[in-house]
Amino acid sequence: MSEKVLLVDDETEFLESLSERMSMRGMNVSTADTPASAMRAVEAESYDAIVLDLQMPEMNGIDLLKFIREKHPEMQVILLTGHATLEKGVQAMKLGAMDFMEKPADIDVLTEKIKKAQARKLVLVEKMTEDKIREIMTTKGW
Amino acid sequence: MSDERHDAVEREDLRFFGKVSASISHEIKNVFAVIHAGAGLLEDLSLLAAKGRPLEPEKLQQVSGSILRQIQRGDEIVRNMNTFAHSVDEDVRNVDVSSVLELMVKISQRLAAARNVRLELGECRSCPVRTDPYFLEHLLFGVIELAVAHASSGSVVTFTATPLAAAPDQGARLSLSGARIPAELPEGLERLTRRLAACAASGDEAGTWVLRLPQTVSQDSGRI
Repeated sequence: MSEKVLLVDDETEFLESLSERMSMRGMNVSTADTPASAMRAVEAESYDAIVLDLQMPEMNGIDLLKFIREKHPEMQVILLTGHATLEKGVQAMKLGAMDFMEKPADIDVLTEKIKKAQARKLVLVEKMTEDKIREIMTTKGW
Repeated sequence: MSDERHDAVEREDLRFFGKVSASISHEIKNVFAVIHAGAGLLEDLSLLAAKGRPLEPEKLQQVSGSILRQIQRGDEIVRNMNTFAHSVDEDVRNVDVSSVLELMVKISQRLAAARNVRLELGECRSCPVRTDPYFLEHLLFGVIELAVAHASSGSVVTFTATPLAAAPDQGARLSLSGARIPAELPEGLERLTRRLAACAASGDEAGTWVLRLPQTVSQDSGRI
């Protein structure tokens, strides 16, 4: 099954090249060049992985990460940043990012992380479905 | 000046240098990231071509065009960085205030963009003054930071630099509109204003903040 990915970055030329490379590797890729369009995209579609730039105008990647985790905890977020510091990495992981990478990111490493994200999302969705069924059964007294 | 005060001032100067360096290196990293993605795409296309998929000339032009644009962008960033780095070469020298303003606006664009504020240059005419270039850059950076902090999201802050109207050989007039600058400047900016024998005033026109710089600043003028 092809991985469904949302790439979020305000560098449009970066988005174009990277999304094409990822598509060549069999992924189903969408792009967003503003935090607002990324928010609209995650409300409209379900993604296996969201690859998110940490520094963007309007809203930084951390705030967008918080939004995604709150609204769609099953979607896995991989943060990309110009300069990875330990503090930023720890903060991102604490807020629920699946991973944290420094730009320029190696495409093979990124692809591997996206595959992991998809597997993780599938497990999470399965667990959430099980929990939901268990909750219904408990409510109904079955 | 006490040792503690001296250390604090020195630290503030270093913090300014650090902020500018961090912003510039971040910009360079972004340029590398775009070039890396473009070069990677060219590599993918050539691997596919080796397997028999025809190359599309338009695609190659598009990607190589992107790489060339990014190299030009990187070159400009490094040139600005070099100009900035050389501002500490001499304590006092002849500078064009408009050029220094343009440099600091370019260097600060990303910091402003992070708060969804755009910086623009309005009327800028040649304003030759003899001053301390490093302190002038520090002062302008501090003013830009303050303006961005007081600007609302989505707004545009416009800067101008013109010779003093009353007496063009008497110095330069810098103005800023689009953000409300507090009447009382932070201590660090007050220190730099004194150091450059400059004079700041707000509200002489609707919402415009003005800084007047003298024609000449001696090496120990306003030194604390």
